[in-house]
Amino acid sequence: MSRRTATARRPAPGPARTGVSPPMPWWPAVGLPPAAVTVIGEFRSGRSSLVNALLGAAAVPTSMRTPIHHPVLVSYSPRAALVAEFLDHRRQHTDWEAVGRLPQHGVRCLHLRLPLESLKSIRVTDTPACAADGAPLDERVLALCRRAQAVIWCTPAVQAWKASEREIWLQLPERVRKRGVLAVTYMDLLRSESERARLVSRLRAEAAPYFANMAMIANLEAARAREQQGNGWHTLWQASGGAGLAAAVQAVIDTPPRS
Amino acid sequence: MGFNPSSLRLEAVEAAHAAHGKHGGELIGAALEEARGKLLKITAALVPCLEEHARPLLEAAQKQLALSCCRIGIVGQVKAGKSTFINALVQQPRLLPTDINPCTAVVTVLNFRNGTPPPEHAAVFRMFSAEEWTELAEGGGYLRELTQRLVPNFHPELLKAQLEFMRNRAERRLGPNFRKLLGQCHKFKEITPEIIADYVSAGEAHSTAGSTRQQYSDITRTAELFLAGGPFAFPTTLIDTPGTNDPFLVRDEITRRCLENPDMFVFVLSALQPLSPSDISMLRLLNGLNKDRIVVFINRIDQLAEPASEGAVIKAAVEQRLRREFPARDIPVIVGSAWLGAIGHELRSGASVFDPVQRSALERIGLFRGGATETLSESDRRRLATVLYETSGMAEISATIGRLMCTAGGAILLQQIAACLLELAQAAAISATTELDTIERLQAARQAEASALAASIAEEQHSLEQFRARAEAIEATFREIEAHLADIIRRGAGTLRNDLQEIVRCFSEELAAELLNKLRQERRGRFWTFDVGALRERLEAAYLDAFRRMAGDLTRVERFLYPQLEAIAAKLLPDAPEAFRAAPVTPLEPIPCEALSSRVALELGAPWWKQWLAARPSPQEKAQHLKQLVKEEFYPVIEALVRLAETRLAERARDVMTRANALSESMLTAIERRKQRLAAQQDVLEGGGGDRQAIRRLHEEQDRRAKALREAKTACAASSEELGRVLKLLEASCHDAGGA
Repeated sequence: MSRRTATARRPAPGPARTGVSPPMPWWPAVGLPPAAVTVIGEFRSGRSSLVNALLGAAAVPTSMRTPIHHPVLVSYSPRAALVAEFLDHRRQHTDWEAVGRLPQHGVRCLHLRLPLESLKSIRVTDTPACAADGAPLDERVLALCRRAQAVIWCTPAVQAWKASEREIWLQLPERVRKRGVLAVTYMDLLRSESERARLVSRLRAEAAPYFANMAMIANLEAARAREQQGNGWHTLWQASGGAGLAAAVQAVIDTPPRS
Repeated sequence: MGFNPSSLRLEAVEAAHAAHGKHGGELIGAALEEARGKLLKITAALVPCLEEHARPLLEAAQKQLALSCCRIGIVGQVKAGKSTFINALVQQPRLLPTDINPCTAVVTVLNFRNGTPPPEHAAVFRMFSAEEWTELAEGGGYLRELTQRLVPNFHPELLKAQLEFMRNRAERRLGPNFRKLLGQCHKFKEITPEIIADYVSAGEAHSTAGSTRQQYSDITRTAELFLAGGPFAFPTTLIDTPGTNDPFLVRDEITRRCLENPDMFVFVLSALQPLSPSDISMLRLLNGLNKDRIVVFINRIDQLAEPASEGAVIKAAVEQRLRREFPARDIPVIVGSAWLGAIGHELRSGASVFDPVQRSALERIGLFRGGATETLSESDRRRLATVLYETSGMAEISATIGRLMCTAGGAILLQQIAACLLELAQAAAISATTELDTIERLQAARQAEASALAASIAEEQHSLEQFRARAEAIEATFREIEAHLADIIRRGAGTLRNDLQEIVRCFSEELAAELLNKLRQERRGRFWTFDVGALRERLEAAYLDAFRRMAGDLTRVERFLYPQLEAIAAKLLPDAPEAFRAAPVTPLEPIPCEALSSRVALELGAPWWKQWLAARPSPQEKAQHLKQLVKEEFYPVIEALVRLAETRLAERARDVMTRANALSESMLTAIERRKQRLAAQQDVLEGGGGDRQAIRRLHEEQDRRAKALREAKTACAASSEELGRVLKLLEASCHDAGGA
């Protein structure tokens, strides 16, 4: 039902139906182990659809009807699978329908394995929503941020960079923030070019100083580009800002960490 | 044909419109305004009929009626679309400035007074005084005060940087001599969007391009607008606030300062991020202000992929969450889009072409199909306007506001005034009837023997003495009751204070224990904040409970007053035992306890707590200081609550006594006048009837008085009847509102 991908378009239970993934020219295919990228943000800030945009495939479900309360680690495997890892390290194969029935507190994370070319370059983690209601950050999310080579903070364009977002972001260690990318999502919901320009100008001044990089992405257009199987989807994808985001993330990954 | 009727299930929408139809054409608060108008007329009609003692009450009522209005606060997070919502609600799409960046920087008060002539200046902007500005710009104010209480001498970098920025911007925009503008008041006879933008809009914060117009928003304290037209029949004041959760801390502070007791809140949410944790904490804050009258408006559904179906899901989710969070409340939730409402309004007022942005948005949600036709046909235009009015939620929110208005402070005030006037009119009618009776008897006796007249006078005087004695006894009783009321309030306040302090003491112990526990478990606490929401809830529950108990005691004593008055009335008018019926006792509701929602240092974010923890060495010391902090922060809140309860109850007691005294004194005055008349008659009689001229003068005076009394009697009776109708009208509208 969501404005992103409909429930019906979720990966089918068990092995995802994503058989062939499109070529992803923007991720350099190097022989290194894939870089870890963690995507965080407040609720409904477009985290999951950004993950899908990064990967160029409908990898994770993006419905607000069944919010997923666990981090989802997406990595490459020739055979698609969804595995739940419990706090006691026990693992169990599952599917998206069954995920909602898992105990909320007993699960460490979900492993989503997909045969996507892009996953040979990066491993992406989608996380549950962060909230600035006085509670400390989810320990699991914090650990994933510490381990990641790039951390993407999603802020929705229509209500971008609120005080609560800044509060959460500043809770992260400086080491993590130095690898941060501010992704302004749903740029396509803005109503005019001048709105876009004014928003970007404010965010550059107010938010960008807390991040290593900043990128704008039109999630809805990116999703449409993905659905378009024919020629021209690449151009569409580039126009949606997906390519720009990938470049921004890659730039952060490529920056050697300060010792 | 551009209009696509199939995509929106027009039948359903049009059926919904028929359901709202009765509100569609009607102005908001029409029934209340009708009652207010009638009460003003009745008050004017009663002035010549009432005794001196009742005059001040009448004048007060007249003043209150003239000033009464419904204050509606529009609140919500930054960029939820509050200004756009107001523009759509008042049907002036370009009135308040809106932008993609946080735009409203100043609390803007919009006054709609359809019944009264407009003031000379339609827009009044007040600047901060030099002291206020300095306090704000130097980082004084509430936030600073809170941080100082938690971590003295800790100056957050962010606040400092933002304040510096604000000072520089004011200087850049207004010139180096901008301080000369402080304390000024700028008035305009006409309102234009440009003028409002100059004073209210935050403007392009970061652009270097110089604007040709002066931007005063950095130093404007309040903006007050007086608007003609609008959707309200009853006098209404809308308060537009800068959004909360604004990263610009100074603006956030300005909003918190302005929530001065509105009768009702419209809480605007964005459908894109409905009811985020920040929204919930804001709602908890409002909770203390006036929880009975909050409406939630979920804005921006036009930006969802499928507004109708997704909107319904979001609405259900928000309702469910609100029920869980505020189980005792029934908070109405309405989904819509102020932006669509504005387009609908443009169509209604004759526009038949869209701009490209509107066009593509309407296409996206399936209300419009791109085609060769650029211009809508007349019937399509009207149909689409109707559909947009419904889809935008503006019809529903108008109806809901109207409904809530009927139970708000203004409506209760009208009821109280009507009840008070009814009592006065009835008492005046009784006095007039009895006095007229005496005169008529004297007039009849004029024809009879002198001895018979003397006997009649003596009899009257005797019965009057009895009344007088009784009335005086009642006055003494009233004084006792007054003392009793004061006693109830004093003792109740004492108990309330003790109870609340006990609650805070317990909570501080719990919190300190929790802290010690946490410190034991974790070697270094990374993130610390304390949730005092539970304490607020406990305090509020105890406060409301105690208030209701005291109010119950007061109203029970009040009820004792009326039988006394009825007894005098029955004695004076034995033939009409029903002449005085006590007006319904208006319930005494606790007023919003703003004090409960004031922010305390304990609610500052994690960075401050880190500093706080770092400053104290041992866990015991930390726990001890935390305990002390809870008490220091909440004892003033308790004092404010106790004062609030005392003031409110004392006010009520004073009102009741004023009314009762005015009534009994009116009756006493009437008795006194009759005694004088009898004495005069007796004098004449004893003078042997020699002075014919004196007798004639006396009789003429009696006749004149009798005529005046008959008129007063008729007028009072008519007013009483009319007041009965007004009370029924108010009751019915209040009941409808409750039942709907």
